[in-house]
Order: sequence, then C-alpha cells, then structure tokens
Amino acid sequence: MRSGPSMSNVATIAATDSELVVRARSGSEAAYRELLARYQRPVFSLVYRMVRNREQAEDLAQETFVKVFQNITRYDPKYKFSSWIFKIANNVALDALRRRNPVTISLDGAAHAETAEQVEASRTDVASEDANPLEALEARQLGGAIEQAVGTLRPEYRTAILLRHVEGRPYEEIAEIMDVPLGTVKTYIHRARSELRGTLAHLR
Amino acid sequence: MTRGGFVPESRMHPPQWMLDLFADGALAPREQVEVEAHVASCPHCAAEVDASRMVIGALSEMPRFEPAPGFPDAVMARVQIDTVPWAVRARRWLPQTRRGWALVIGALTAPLVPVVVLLAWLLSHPMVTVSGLWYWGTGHVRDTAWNVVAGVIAAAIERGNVGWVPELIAVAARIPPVVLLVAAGTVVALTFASGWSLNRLLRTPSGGVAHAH
Ligand SMILES: [Zn+2]
Repeated sequence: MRSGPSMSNVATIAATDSELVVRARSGSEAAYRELLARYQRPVFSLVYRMVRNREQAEDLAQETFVKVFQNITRYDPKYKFSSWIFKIANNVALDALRRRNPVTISLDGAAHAETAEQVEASRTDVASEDANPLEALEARQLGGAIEQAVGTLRPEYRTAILLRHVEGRPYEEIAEIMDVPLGTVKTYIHRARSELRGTLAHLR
Repeated sequence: MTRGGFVPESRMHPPQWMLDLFADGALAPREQVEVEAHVASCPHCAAEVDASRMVIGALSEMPRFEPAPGFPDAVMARVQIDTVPWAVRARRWLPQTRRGWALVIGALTAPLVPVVVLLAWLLSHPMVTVSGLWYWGTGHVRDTAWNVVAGVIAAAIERGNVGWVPELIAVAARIPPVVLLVAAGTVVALTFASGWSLNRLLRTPSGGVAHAH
C-alpha cells in the first residue's frame, strides 16, 4: 500500500485530522497510517508516563489505537480528534492502573509522595541499570528528577499536567478529555505544580 | 474560577493558585493584567511566580517518547479496515447485467400484471364501462381510506393521545384516491424489490472486509 510519494500521499499529509477520519471511514489505509504517524508518540508518551512501564505502555497504546480505529464511525466530529484519542488513551491507562493497584490508585488518588524518601519508595516500576535492557531504558527515560516527581503525582493530576505541558493542550481541551469542569482542571494543574515544586526541592 | 479574594487596588497578595495560573497564562485576560501589575511591584509574589515558571519550564522540557519501530504495523494488523468505499458498496446493490436489470424491472412491474388482467376482464363485459369502473373503484378506495383513518382515530382516542388527530384528518381529507392507489402499488412493488435484494445479498459472498498488513 505504501509506494513512493504520490499526489494522494501528499494530500494525506496535508489533510486535517477530520479529513483523515473521513478518508479512514471510507477505507483508506493511508489515512489510518497518517493518523498513527501523527498520534503514536503523543499517545505512547502519555500512556508510558501514566503506567511507567514501557512494555505495558506499548500494549496500552496499541489498544488505544485499535479502539479508536474500530470505533471511527462513532467519532463525533464536533469534538477535536485529538481530544477523543487522548480521552481513550487516558481511560485505557487509568483502567490498567486500577487493575494493577486497585487500593492505592483510586479516583481520589490517595497515593502520592511528597518527600524524597517517599519518591524513592514509589519508584516500583523504574528498574535499576542492572536489570534487563528494556528496564534499563526505562530507568534512563523516567529516571530524571522531573520524571520521578511527575511519577509521584496521583493519576488525575498526572494526566492534566502531561496534557498541559508535554502536549501543550489548552485547559478547555483538557477538561473535555478528562470529562471534568474547567475549574477542576485548573485546580488539578495548580495542585500538581505545587506538589512538584515541593518534590523537586526535596530531590535536589 | 470564583475563588477570588484578590482586589488589585489593595496591598493584599493574590492567592498562590492565582499566581501559579498567572505564570501559565491561564487567567482570564483582565485577571492576567491585574496580577501582572501587582507582581511587578511585589518581590514576594514575583518570587512565587518565578518558582512556578521554573516548574513549568522543567515540565515543558519533558520529551515525547517513541514507541517500538513496528508499532504502526502492529496496530494495523489488529484493525479490520473496510477498504471498500461507500459508493462502490452502493453500486454492488444495483444489477450488473442487462439480464439483471430486466429482472428488476420485471419484479417491480409484476404486481401490476394481475391488476391489468383483472381490469381487462372486467372491461370485456358489455355492462362494464370505464367511467363506471372508475366510479366504483375510487368509491371503494375512498371507503377503505376512511375506514383506516377512522380506525387510527379510534385507536388514538382509546390511548388518550389525540392532539395530532385534527391535523391528520385535515391531511387525509386532501389525499385524492388516485394517490392512495399509487401509494399502495408502490408499497407492493417495494416489498418485492426488497425481497429480491435480500435474496441477492444472501447469495453474494462478502468481499468487503479485508485484513490490513
Ligand atoms: Zn504580592
């Protein structure tokens, strides 16, 4: 299906998300692949930082795209495609976290560390360098101070802060993605940054 | 956000959440201007804003991660794509050959044959005239139509929902019997056509779903 750059390939690259969805619905594999190219890194990054395990994040990111593509006829174009795909990715990640740790990771998000010791104790998924290569890669990728600090945030704070500062999404869109009022998003983000300030001060 | 208590004219410091949202440019335009004016003349709040900006800076430098190289293929292998566009699928429902078209037209006109035969037989009698037959036929159709309307009204009254009845009566009274006859013929023809289509669909092997690799 993928040959050299033809006019239709150029048109696919220049198309908006909505146009790609229309083409995907009519069976264009090129449109599906372009949506993948646009969103695989944002979706994988969000899910990876939520579950903090590379292998699981690959599976969950795949699951996100499969859900999105299989339900593409149900996508409502009055919402942004990015909002829809991030919403599904976030729900997939939250479900995985609940399955993994149903007690500490509730919707209330009781588990969050504030001191450096608590941060260290919470690093259950970030392996040390002497483990297998994948875990070593994880340790390198998520081992920095800011990554560790973000890893200690409760899930809903983490989602909001990642969408805001890694994906650069406006507060209104984050509210749509997380299905909460705008004021709640502002509270999540402010409290998350406030916690991060404390955690980073301890880690430094 | 309505957690305000910040009055710009006073010496009060804006609350921390407000300074933090200010650092992210997330306040309403008027609040943004007010806090900016305060921060410019208050070292305490300026330090708060700087601390927020430092966190925001660190967060904004977090990179995006790349999934494994085979990621797109792995996704596409799990997705069933209907690669046949809608227009092509619609065309498949239409007859492909002249014989097919003849069959469709035949199926659509077949219900009319007994009617025509009946009319011819009736008109072959010397007592039966075209105008007489028309008068008798339209009378019957009108009676039947009224019976249907009356039945519907009775049912509606029984169920207590009668708001739309006067409207229905007004509409029904205006329908000429010829239209009712044509409508009945169309219903019969459509029944035949859908039966034929269903039969054809069930005989056609489904080729519309393909695995993408
Ligand atoms: Zn101040």
